[in-house]
Amino acid sequence: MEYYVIQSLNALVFAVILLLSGLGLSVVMSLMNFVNLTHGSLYLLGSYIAVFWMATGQPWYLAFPAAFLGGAAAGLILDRFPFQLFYARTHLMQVLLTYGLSVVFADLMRWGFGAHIATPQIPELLRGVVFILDTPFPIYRLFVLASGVVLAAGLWFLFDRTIWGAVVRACVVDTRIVEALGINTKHVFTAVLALSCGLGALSGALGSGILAAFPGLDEEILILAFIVVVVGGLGTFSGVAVSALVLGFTMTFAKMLSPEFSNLMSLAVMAGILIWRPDGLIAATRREV
Amino acid sequence: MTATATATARRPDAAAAPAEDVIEVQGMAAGYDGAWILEDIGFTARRGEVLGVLGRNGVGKSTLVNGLLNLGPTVTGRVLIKGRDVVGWPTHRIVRLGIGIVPQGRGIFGNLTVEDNLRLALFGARATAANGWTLERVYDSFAKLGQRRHVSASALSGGERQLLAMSRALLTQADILILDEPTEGLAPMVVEEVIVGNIRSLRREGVTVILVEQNIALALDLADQAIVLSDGGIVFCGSADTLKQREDIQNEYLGV
Ligand SMILES: Nc1ncnc2c1ncn2[C@@H]1O[C@H](COP(=O)(O)OP(=O)(O)O)[C@@H](O)[C@H]1O
Ligand SMILES: [Mg+2]
Repeated sequence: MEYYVIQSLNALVFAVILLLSGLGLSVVMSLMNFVNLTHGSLYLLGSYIAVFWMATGQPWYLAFPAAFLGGAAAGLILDRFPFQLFYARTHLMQVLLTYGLSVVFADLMRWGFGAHIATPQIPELLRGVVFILDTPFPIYRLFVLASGVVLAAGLWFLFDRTIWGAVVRACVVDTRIVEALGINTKHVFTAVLALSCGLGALSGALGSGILAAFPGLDEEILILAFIVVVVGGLGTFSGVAVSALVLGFTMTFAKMLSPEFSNLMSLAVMAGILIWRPDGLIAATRREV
Repeated sequence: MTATATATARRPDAAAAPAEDVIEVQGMAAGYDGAWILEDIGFTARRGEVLGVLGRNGVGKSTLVNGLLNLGPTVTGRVLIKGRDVVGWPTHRIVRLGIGIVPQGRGIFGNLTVEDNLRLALFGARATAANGWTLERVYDSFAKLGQRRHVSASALSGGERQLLAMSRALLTQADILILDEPTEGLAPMVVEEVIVGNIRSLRREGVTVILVEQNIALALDLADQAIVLSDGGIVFCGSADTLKQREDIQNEYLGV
């Protein structure tokens, strides 16, 4: 019993990381119709920022805003050049561009941060364990879980309850009409890309205390984030949330049942969902103009 | 085939103060992917007047008005809005000069609430000539929208949608309003209440209205000036009263 509770908590923690990185990818794909394969690179960049920040002795909690800002700044630069040239092009061209960039970024990061497995020095406050049903559970994971829930709630509020969110949701339906209301939609795209990249890096910073940071993690995260977005249904917040939960739980419990076949099992579950619901768990809102 | 003469007839009551040309189009061509739909278009619209844009289905009326705002079609030539040549400008910059549009089909965002649809326009509004439209004024003028402000815009009736689209365009602080087939799909009673009444009162407030219509009688009733499109060009440009008399033109180009 205790064992299942602890594993469920682990699954929730993993789901939170998947949710945050998946949301960034999802909003860019549904709003801008842009396939960004550098999303995993931004996750890993965020992880490295957290690792190095925590080693400097600066206040540890600033590592997370630093990672977000670092990722968002990278997004602003990438939007200027070369992404803007590819927003209106085919998915194949976007895939070629961003895949190429992700390989370059992987090499740059290996060169800059080394090829070893880097782990952050978790601050005293978050280091130990708490006992849940007499079983030890790392405090840091609870911290990730809580931060993720707060962030997801904040993002939901931003997209669902504010005028900025309304602008983005309107752009998803028809950017031309949004332009006709006097809004510079190019700026909307830039802001959303920066937010997405910032979220990617922030999820990397949060995840670094659990998954560490090492070459190759960028690709793993990218694939998982993609699965979350596609299975959840493009352009739906709740879809991404549900599918992050499903993937988090299947991966955690598949590892428990049979470590060597865990990836196969979780991919089979996700493929099964897609066969059952080709448009994703929660189909995107219909175009309504 | 094409007539580029600008309309010169003037409303008698406007004779004292010569009204300024807020839209001046010269040698404009508009089309899609290299195929021109309209060529050698020239006309003017004066402040505070209603300009009817008439012509058969598919002749290029929407292409013309969308072209003014760089909202889709490719455009060449000169399009002066309040004296600024806006050809090649991004749409949002043109709109911020104070020209709003209700596109054909209205462009209401059904995934947003009524109020969020309106707030989008306020978010973008930077018009130099702020016309003083606020949410309160919209809700005062159109109580129906006020009552349903928190409802999803997809729940509105056709007439309410048209009201919403018009209010939204005005909230960009427009003093020039383009209406592309506003009566489309509305019952005659609703047309009278929503379209006719409101265009009259907007005109009284000095708003310039570009009215694209299939309903010729209604358009000629409301318009001061009119242009008729046919075969890629303007075949009539003059006062609405003149066009009322010209049954030959109406028969040939409007299929009345
Ligand atoms: N987006 C578009 N791409 C290509 N052709 C278009 C497009 N929109 C309209 N057309 C064509 O342009 C012509 C004029 O259309 P439109 O301006 O909508 O006419 P109207 O508004 O007078 O009914 C039509 O032949 C139509 O098929
Ligand atoms: Mg039309």
